[in-house]
Amino acid sequence: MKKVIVLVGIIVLSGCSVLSPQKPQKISSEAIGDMGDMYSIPANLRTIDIRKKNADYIVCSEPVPDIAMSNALKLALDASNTQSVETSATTGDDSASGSVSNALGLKGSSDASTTALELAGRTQIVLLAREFISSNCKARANGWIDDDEFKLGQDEIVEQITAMITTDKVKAQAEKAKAEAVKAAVKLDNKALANVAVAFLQAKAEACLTTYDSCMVTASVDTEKREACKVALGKCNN
Amino acid sequence: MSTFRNAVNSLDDKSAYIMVGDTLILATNLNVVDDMVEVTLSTPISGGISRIFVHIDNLVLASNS
Repeated sequence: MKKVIVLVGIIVLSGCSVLSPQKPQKISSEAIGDMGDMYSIPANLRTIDIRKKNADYIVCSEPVPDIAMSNALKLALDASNTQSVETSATTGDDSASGSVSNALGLKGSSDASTTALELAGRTQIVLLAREFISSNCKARANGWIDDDEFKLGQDEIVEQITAMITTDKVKAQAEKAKAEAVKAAVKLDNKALANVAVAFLQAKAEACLTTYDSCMVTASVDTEKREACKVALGKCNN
Repeated sequence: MSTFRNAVNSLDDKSAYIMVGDTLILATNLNVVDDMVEVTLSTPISGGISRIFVHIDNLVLASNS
């Protein structure tokens, strides 16, 4: 019996259209009076325009939407010692919730929500190309341009988009080359390099001086030899 | 007397670049003990090696001046 009551509650709530909040298009003929009609549709819906052209049709479909609608239905059941009988439901534009409980202490609740999810992968060039091509098609469908102008428009659009893609490619390659150059350039610690230079120059000077001292001792009073020692010291330190 | 040894000794507690094969490695300390040079690396290499021991006859240091 308990299970039947809860099951009925679930069925009642799941039958509510608000649990699937995908809104249809709205038409308002009053917005602009005799000038025409105004239509609005949710962002996740696409339109396909079909116009008769002599014996054929001109078909222009809108680009794929940039968002998708995600519906989530959460159903929670739990048992408690609650003895009250209560049924309620609240609805909003994008969400709906309901609850049911009974004297036997079983309670259920449901929540439905809809979230707009942005679809990834649309670069600026992709978006531009889509809009150009769609606009060109609609211009033809509305009779503003003829077949030849439409074809010319398509060719120009493709040419422009190709040029933009080529520019993007060149820029990307330049960035890549720059990044690789930065990576390849090894930045050395100048202080460490200087430490070695100072240490070895000092050691060299000391060694040269030691050799000079020995030379002078050996040269003793021989002026020529002493002079040669000085020349050798000079060469050693260079 | 060893000019090379004297030079390396004077680098105690100073950073210096040593050549290991074709690779320059930055060392933070060179400690000369007899013919052994204990080299402390500034950045561990090969997943965790932070100190290497080089024979003084094989040690090569680098400078730019």
